[in-house]
Amino acid sequence: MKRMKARSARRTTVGDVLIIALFAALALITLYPMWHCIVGSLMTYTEYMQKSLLIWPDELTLESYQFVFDQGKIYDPMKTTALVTVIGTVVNLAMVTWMAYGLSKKFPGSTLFTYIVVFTMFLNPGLIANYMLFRNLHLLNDLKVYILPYLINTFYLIILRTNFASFPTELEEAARIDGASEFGTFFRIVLPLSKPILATIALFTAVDYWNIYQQSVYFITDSSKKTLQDYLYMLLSNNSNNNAGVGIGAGGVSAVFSETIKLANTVIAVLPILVVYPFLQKYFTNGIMIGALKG
Amino acid sequence: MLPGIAFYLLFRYVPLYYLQIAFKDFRITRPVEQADFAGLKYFIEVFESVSFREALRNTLVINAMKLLICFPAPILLAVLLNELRSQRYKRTVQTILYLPHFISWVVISSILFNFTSIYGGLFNTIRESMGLEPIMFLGNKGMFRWILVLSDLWKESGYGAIIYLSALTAIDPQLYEAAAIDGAGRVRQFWHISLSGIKSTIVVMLILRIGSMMAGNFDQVQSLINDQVLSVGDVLDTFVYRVGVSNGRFSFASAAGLFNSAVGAVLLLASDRLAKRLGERGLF
Repeated sequence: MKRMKARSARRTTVGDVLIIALFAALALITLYPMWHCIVGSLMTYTEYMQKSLLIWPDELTLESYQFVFDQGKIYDPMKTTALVTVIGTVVNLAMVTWMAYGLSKKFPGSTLFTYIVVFTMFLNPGLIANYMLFRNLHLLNDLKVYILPYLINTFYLIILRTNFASFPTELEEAARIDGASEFGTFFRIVLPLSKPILATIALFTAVDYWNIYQQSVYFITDSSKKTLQDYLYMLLSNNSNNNAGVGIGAGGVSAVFSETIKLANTVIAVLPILVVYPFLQKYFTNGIMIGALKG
Repeated sequence: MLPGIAFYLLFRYVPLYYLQIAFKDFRITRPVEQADFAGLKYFIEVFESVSFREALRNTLVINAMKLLICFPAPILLAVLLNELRSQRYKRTVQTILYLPHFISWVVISSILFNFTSIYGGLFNTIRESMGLEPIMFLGNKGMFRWILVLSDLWKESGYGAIIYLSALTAIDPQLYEAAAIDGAGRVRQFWHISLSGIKSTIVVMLILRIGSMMAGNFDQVQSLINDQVLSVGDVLDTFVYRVGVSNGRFSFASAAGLFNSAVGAVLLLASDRLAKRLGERGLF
């Protein structure tokens, strides 16, 4: 606070103006690509082909989205991704909270348990070893492969454990003297006090799940079980990856997926992220996720 | 507690058992236990393979480029954000700059495909307006690595600044006042107070960075790569996936992956030692 006062007493200099202008430029560079996608997906194909910089469509149209949903190939990956996101987030949050609360308490063997958990952060068996295990567990080409091997995010677990351990023990003792059970204390004292951090972890986890791409590439070959990101990748690579950047207009098959339709698919794949982002960013500034990293 | 521990044992420790296939003639039709011992045969094959050596070189070159360009960027952003006096403007800028971190690489690839299209893509329109021929950016061997570096810069710089911003808030404001009274200008305050105040954070982040020099960004490379640029863009992670899972050469891919993880672990420990020798806190 003191510094802010001391600094704002200063006159605005050329340096200040330059920094403000620099950040305005950076903000524009950051936002434009996403704006380009959204505006492009709402244009007619003819208008899109005439313009390079997209500010606003002359004629707003949903024809690209109409095509995507009429064609219907997006429904399976959308359902898969939504299902995995919801189930994955709920199960993950429950498991992480449970483990974190347990590890925040001292009990015989608690140090060993902590070692077992923390050591995995430096341990990477690699893709092939995981692939072999999943194959033997019959998880390949099964939706469970998106959830079971990633049930607990160790990073979030450690953040949450640090948070639980920071609660004064008097708080829980007082509750116990008032006759609350172990479970009662946890649900009525510990959980409500941890709401902001739980909300943050839930949102981060949900974003991670929505963006799942790698697991779909590695472990799923059945196209009806691919995630939305992988579906988008296959759609893009089918007609632009092989000829490196050649988009629509090359004729033949690619005409089916015109640029505006690709943009509509892209917007669908990113929209939920853009919708939850305002809720997500609320928690950055108070530094919840950083405390543990320095920790 | 117990289901959690069971999870860790099954999904984080049991896979280690399958590392043995790097030393065996493993066939997918038979169990691992029945495969014949092959010694270091697959490791030798890996080192003699041209595409492995390319992938190794690409991984190191791309990571070195990212270290030089993408590592300092968030530090610079944080220090400059800290200079903004309007808190509202600062918060708005932060909100915008953090956003790309949450967007998947596939979506970013989609935007890049669109921008680099030779049929009216934004980048080629700019080239044409300067009188240059349109080119296929993503199929160009000289450009592909730069595209990886710059798209990473665009995606992660803002979010990466958070940790330095939080380190900057820990600096005692009186230091700046004292320096100002002593006649230190903005630039000197930057070097002697801001930068030296966040030095230990920078070192920790640098260790993590160097420790992951062997890790390729799978999502980024997989979603952007194509046959034309395979020789300059393929990294170890995409290589292991392609030869192992796609081509079914499990023992070979496993040997390449094991080499990758082992060198990665050594790098992490070595850079941590170095940091401690230089008088910093280190990781472990």
